Amino acid sequence: MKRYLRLLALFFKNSLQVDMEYRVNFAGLLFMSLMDATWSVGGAVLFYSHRSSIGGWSFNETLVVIGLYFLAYGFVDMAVRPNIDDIVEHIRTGTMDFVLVKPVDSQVHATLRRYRFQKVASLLVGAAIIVYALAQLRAAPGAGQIALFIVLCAGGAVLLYSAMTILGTLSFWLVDISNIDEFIVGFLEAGRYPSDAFPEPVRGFITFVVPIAFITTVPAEVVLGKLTPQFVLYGWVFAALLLLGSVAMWRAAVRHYNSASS
Amino acid sequence: MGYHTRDMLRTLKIYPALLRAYWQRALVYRATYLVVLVNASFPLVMMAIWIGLAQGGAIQGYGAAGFAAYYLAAILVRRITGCGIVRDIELLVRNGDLSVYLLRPLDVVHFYIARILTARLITIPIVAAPVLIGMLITPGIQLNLTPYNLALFALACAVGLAFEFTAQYAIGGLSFWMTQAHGASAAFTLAESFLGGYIVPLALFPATLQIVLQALPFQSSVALPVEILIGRVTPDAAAARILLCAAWVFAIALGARLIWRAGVRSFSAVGA
Repeated sequence: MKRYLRLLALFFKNSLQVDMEYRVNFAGLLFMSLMDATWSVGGAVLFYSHRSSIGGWSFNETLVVIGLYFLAYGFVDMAVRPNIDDIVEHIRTGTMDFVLVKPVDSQVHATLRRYRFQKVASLLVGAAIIVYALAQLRAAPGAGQIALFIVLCAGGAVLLYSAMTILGTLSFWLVDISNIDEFIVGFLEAGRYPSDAFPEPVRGFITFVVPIAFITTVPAEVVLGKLTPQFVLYGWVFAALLLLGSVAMWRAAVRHYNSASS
Repeated sequence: MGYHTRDMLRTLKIYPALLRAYWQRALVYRATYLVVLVNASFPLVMMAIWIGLAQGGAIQGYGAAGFAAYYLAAILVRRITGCGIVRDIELLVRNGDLSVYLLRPLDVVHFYIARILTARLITIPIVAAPVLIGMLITPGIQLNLTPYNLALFALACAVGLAFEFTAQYAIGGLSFWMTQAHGASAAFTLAESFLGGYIVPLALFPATLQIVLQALPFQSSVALPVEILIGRVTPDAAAARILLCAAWVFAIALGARLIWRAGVRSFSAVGA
């Protein structure tokens, strides 16, 4: 375990060094995130110009969900996508062999290896929106709420990581599936607004079947003090099962793999 | 026969072959067209929320069926008008491959036109099928399908595609001088989707903003064709807006041409 933590620290450091070498302008990425946030918030402004409350959520409460969407999106863009892209590339070019012969768990090495830290722009925008909204609401979440919020965000991260990894392993069979990560990002779009804003059956679908609600709506409910506790449990059970699923998929994929050259 | 007429006739003669070549090319990448479906489904999120809101009564004339019609049509129209060529232009300029095209007797723009038109032949059916099914099974959807209105719809789509293409071709031309043209293009796409009615119908914007947006060409990318198809605008008003957008496209095309002429000159000066 300690060895893996040290390895992870090494991966972070190496990614940071690579990022420093190819400095894609951070200002440009920040600008893009701000544009994206503008239309997301703009959409909410238009909703609320026609209705005073949406599914029981006020405008500022909705802002918290929008902020969480940008946190989730930033996490995927920064920590998950680079690895999935690398896996697809490794399989296409045959360099996956080098990953598999390393004396560590191959899933850890393949899926936790690369980070693009300049994508932190989305995280900053998301955090700024949440802080602004909470200030507008004069809401000061207690320590317990914040702890639960962090636990929930971690659950959302596990969910996103597992779902992406499962999709990524499909490339062991299908080879050329660049862009497959678009599927998850496409689904995540439904997390831009509170799940209560959607009519049934969409609401049920994004709450129970593809639990997008667990990633953005439920953590927002925690800091806003409007939580339904059973969802927390449901979301984490879902995340844990998906994580196990990703491990099983990875093992099956590696067994199936017989290199590009041989 | 004047020089220009001969030139144009020759270009026209080349086009069938050019289109055939790019059609073959489009077929090679067919696996990625599945992703098209995912990207295309993006308006469904906003559609679902507005339908939910409309259950408390119609909003600016849009009831639940109205919103369904608007966004389903928007999914189709976006596939007709949308195109992404900036990144490709940027690569062509940066790694010097452009010089190969410059040597050919046909302007670079024609290769891009052929590519965009043939790609449409694949993406439109992929998206049209689910959209049509959605429109058939959703109760209460109303479309204006008179021949004249359909002709206006087709014309609006053509103008929308021309707007998107010329604007992107102009932005792509910026890569002769800047390295982040694709960033500018992404910003353009985001602005366009909000101001052009892809994310929210223009009728739901504040009244003053609506007047501004109806004077800008962004509407041709989604809002104008969709409003024509679902019968929200009278044919006369539609024709006027199409003409206005066409005038914009003409001006943008002129700008793109100037940018490219200056760009190619500075490009060869570098000696690539």
